Amino acid sequence: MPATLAEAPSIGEATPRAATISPATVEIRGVRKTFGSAVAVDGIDLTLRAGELYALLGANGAGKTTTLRMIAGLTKPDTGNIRIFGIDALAKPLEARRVTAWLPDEPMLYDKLTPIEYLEFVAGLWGVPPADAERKAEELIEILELGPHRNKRCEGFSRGMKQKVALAGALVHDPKLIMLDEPLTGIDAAIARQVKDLLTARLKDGATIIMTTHILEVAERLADRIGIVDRGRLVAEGTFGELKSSAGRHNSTLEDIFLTLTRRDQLAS
Amino acid sequence: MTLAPGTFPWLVAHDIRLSWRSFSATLNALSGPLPALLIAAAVIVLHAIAFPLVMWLSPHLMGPDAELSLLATVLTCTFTWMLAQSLFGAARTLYVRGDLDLLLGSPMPAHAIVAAKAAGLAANCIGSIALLCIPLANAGAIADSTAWLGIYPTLVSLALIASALGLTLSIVLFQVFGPGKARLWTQMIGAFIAGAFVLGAQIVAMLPAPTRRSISSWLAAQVEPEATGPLLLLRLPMDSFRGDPIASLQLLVIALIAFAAAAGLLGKRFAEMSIVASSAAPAAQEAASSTRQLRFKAGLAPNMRRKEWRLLARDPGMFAQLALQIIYTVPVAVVLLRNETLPPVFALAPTIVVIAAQVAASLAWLTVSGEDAPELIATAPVTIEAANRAKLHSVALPVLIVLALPIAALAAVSWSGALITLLTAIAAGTSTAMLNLWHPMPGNRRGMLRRHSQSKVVALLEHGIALLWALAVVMALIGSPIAFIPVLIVLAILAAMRHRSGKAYA
Repeated sequence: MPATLAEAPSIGEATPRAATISPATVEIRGVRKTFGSAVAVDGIDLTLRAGELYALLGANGAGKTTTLRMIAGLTKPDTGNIRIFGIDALAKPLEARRVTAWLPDEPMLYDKLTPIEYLEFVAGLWGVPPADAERKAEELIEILELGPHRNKRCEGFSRGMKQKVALAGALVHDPKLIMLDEPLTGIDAAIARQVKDLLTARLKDGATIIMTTHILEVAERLADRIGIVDRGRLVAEGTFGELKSSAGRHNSTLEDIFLTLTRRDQLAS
Repeated sequence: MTLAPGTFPWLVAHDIRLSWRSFSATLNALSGPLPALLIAAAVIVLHAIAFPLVMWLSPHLMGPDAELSLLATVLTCTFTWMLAQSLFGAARTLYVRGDLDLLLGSPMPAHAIVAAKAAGLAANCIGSIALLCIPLANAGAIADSTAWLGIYPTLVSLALIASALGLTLSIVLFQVFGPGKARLWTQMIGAFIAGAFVLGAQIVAMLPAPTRRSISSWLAAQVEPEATGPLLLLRLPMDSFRGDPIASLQLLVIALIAFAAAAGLLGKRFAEMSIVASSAAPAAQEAASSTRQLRFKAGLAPNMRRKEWRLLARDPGMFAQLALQIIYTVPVAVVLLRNETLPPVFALAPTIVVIAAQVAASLAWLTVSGEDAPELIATAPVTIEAANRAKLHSVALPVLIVLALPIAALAAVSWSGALITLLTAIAAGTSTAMLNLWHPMPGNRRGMLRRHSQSKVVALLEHGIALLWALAVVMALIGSPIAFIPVLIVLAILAAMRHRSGKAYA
């Protein structure tokens, strides 16, 4: 069982954006996924609340991306339930997708399209009314400082630029749940700052974000709650303070806690 | 035997092992003894076809009264085809890269790495034509004369020369056009080389008989033993082909020298180019159409159409690959047009139908399997079926544009023939597009012409369906009721493939 809020009281960190009274936006119960004989996700239970940023941490192959892909509807779980804003995402995937956005670690772009054309296409996929789509696209281009590149094809862009275009695409339909797989990997500090600012603004607007990351500092500073996944299971969950308590190391960094929790779990097994 | 690591033979063995695994992966989905049985059946069928062909070809190619001009033409065709394959391969090596970064970062000398890659190009050249030539060599040796075995060393030598020349040409094109455009030019020139000679030979064949005879005797005189002109170069491969061991040995030595010279002298340059190609990101081009204010549109279908058409229109390399498909099909029409007993409509109609099937299959593959952002579509609130339907609709217009001119030409000859052909072409295009929809073979858009290496079954069926529709259109034009037979066979194939949709295929 993970170290939960109930098990590990807070030790005085700033109040998370999503207070405990916020309604649940995503509820995952007993989700399991195997690939052949390998168990990728082993019965994960997870609840996300409106307006919170939830960071999933774990070693390579721990099962965090598979978990995210199952929420995004890209991988079908063997067993378990996923509800997004009350919608059974496995039974009614199209309804669930209307309010979600998925940003993988490798930006999904069309090299021969320009950013504005890409946003036009994504808005069309989500059925955003043209006038709204145009306004949103222009807004995102301005916020992400893509203006000088709006009419240039994406093929010549750096990874960071591509990530910004992909993020704009993910946000053009105003999703209520944003799923990000390693969104800050391989991009420079300036672009990372823009991405973080935009995500923070979305959280203030009430969106829920779940992201995986290897950059523990990002999770420590941005996330309201952190879940640690190890060999397909959620071994710990809570605010940074709660995780410190559950690891019994009050002066530790998230890296220490992460290593302690995953190692302890390995020893126990 | 263990090869010393880091040497040229070791690297060649490594490349052969990768190629073999890649080939065997295409058969892995067939379980049990089926892959071996399929290969054995293919070998038997190809040899069975080769025996009567050998009997027919023998007096023209091997006997004392062989038509030297015909032999020269066959060898030139073979060589130009190999050269085109080598050019495509060199461009792939440079731009798709694979393990090139790893190898060039190792302490192995650049010339050894490039030589191993060039050997891979040569093997690919042989592979591209082996299915046709090796059964002929074997059947000829059994049924006619051991001289037919000369095909083996001739093929190897021509492949080595073609890969050396392909390597050299790709370097020249890289120098002339720069890293950004060299790939496109290499593909276009490769397509031109592959198609030009075949088309040229067919155009010559369409000339009046006296003109044809005089060209033929001129060519024969150029390759006679006592001739001194530049075409005498053809003499050595001709003698090698006809089983002369001395000529085979001489040709092989020349080929090895050319190969070693290209790899040794140009290897370093090729390695440098590959570094430039990898680091030269395409310049962020301004998209001409989007400098205007965009007008966003509502709905999946219009947006999908706009996206697909933009991607097609902005990729000249794709046009080169499509043009190549058409070029390879046209000679069949030219051969049929030569037959004076057939009205032109019987030559044009099946060719148009085959082109429609091939182009529709390629474009359907591009939009469905070559999708650059499959996860974007998969996470959008649209069903995969609706997205694919919209993609296939976007394919229809480019196919119709390709068909417009030949259909118009046909209409000038016969209105009813043009109508029947148009309807059959639409049916053929729809069939192969549906096949690609039901059995996607995900891959990079740039590898459109190589998509068949991913699934031999789909490749075979795609060609089979195209030929069956071509047969149906000929029967329909004759007014024969048996036109329904190939149509029924196609429908049965499609029904079976629809049923198997989603299951693994080789």
